[in-house]
Amino acid sequence: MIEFLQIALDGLTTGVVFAALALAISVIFQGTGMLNLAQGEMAVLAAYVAYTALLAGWPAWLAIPFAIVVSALIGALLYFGVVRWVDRRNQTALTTLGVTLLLGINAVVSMIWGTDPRNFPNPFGSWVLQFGGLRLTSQQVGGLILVAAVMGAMALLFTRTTFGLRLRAVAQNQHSAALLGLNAGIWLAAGWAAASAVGTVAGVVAAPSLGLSPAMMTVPLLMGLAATNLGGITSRIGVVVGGLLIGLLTAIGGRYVPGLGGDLNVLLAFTVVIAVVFFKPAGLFGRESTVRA
Amino acid sequence: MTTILHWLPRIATGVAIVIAVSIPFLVTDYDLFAMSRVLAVALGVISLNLLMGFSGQISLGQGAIFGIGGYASMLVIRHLEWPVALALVAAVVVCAIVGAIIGLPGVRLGGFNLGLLTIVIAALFPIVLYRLPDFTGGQAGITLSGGGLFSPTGALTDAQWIYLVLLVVLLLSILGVRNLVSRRIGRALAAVRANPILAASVGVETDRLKLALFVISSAVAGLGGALYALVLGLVVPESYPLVFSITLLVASVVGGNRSWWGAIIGAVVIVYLPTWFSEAVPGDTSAYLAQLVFAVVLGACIIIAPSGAAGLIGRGYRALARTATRDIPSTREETQ
Repeated sequence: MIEFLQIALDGLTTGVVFAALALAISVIFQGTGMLNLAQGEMAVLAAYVAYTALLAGWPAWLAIPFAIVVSALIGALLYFGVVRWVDRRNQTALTTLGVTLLLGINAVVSMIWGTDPRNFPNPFGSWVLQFGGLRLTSQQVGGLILVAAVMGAMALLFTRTTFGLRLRAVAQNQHSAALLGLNAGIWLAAGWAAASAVGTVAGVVAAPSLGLSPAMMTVPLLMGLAATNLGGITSRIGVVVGGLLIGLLTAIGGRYVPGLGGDLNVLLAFTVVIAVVFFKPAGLFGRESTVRA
Repeated sequence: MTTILHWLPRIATGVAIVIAVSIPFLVTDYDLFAMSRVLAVALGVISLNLLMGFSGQISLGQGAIFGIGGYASMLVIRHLEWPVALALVAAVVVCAIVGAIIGLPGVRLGGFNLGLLTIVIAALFPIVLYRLPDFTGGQAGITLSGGGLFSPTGALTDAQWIYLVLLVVLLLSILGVRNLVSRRIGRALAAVRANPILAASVGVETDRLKLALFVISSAVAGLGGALYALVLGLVVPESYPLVFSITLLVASVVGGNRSWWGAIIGAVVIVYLPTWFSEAVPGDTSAYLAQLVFAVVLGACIIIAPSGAAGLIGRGYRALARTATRDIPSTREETQ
């Protein structure tokens, strides 16, 4: 029983990374209608920025916010430079653009930092929390707190500020927002920046356990995508719950289902997603949408 | 003038085929090896064109299907000692079945979710290969002693024979898919692309059509993959990472995903560009430089030239044709 609880706990703490990626994907999808397949690669880039700052002797409390800011700028830049020019109704073009960004960012990261995995210094020290036979490492606790803080900040931003209100207005209906005098381009870029900031946290939290390398986030990205489908991509709370569920599920499945484990857990995640989507196409929390012909 | 412009594309095609056939007797066996790879990859790109250009479906996992074709052919040659021709058939059949399995849920999902489904397959394929070492040879893969195809006559070297076989298969495949999309099924596809609801209302069975295209496309990709494996004489998991699937997409979009010649242009680009870069730039950086160039070119194509290189050439040619025919009073209407 203790073993099961420990695995469940580990699964949940892995799940926060998926949840953060899924949240980033959801924010971008709602804003620009693009399934950002490059989200994982953007998180890798941000993790490398944090890594470089840490190596230069910066303290973690400075290096991580620095990476978040750099990454947000890159996100806004990508929107202005590339994404804005593609017709948002053309799903094939947008999906292709997603993998284009993936390919490009992967190339840039590999050229600058090389492909050998590096040890990402744990920004939260190295202590272990023990209670009732269960244990949590400093990395897990720190990651949990960091992701929860960023998600809390995002929730406040989206629901309690004018900034968030405008973001949501543009995401929901660009034409109406334009009539109200909102410049859609700037607000969508802000959405990309916010998403990149959340993605950065996913990268920084995942890097110490996965080992920093350009391919580090491929599997977490797939898990994040599974989470958006499971929770419903239109719901920000849904995708976070989806991420935690995927983390829990794959940890338990990987341990108790023979033949699974490691990267193959992606298979399990998507099997569950397909089963859920079969009964509830918009995901657990998503809203059904109707299309007018 | 009109007649010349009318015949020019056909003449160009004829000249291109004559050049393609005479190449093996003009260049070294080493160069032929790279060109054979181009021909095999071109089949993979054609399969993607069929899917993206003609049925409006995306696949981010075509590289995995290509790899499955390669593994299928190598496995039956290595373990069951099937002849090469039969191994190609096996690869085509296996990939058609895989295509049907992916396509059944895939065509219903469409759009983003199809992209998602196929990218998962592309990402999982190498992982599964590593996980089943007894079957796939794990990291070492499967090798054939001294390549898969041998010249049956003394008049041709192995390299020349391989190239010519691939050229014939490629041309026959182009002829086949061209026929396919220019007939009834092609017009039905055009209707589905333009407006799926309209197409359904005039009696086109949209889902069945898309599924059929998915299966045929997978079969073509499998054929290309099997030939590619035979050219190299080996299959290893690291030949088929996610990036390879994306690179095929680059070739399809950059060449022009509604042109068969564009597919060959695309294949030339993705096979030769990394080689050129590795000669020009020392070290590991070159491969990633090529990858970055692919990304930039692909991005530019999506935004500026959605019909790719072939589309640009076609547009330029038609503009030329218009200027040339303007002076002549009675001209045939451009139907393209």
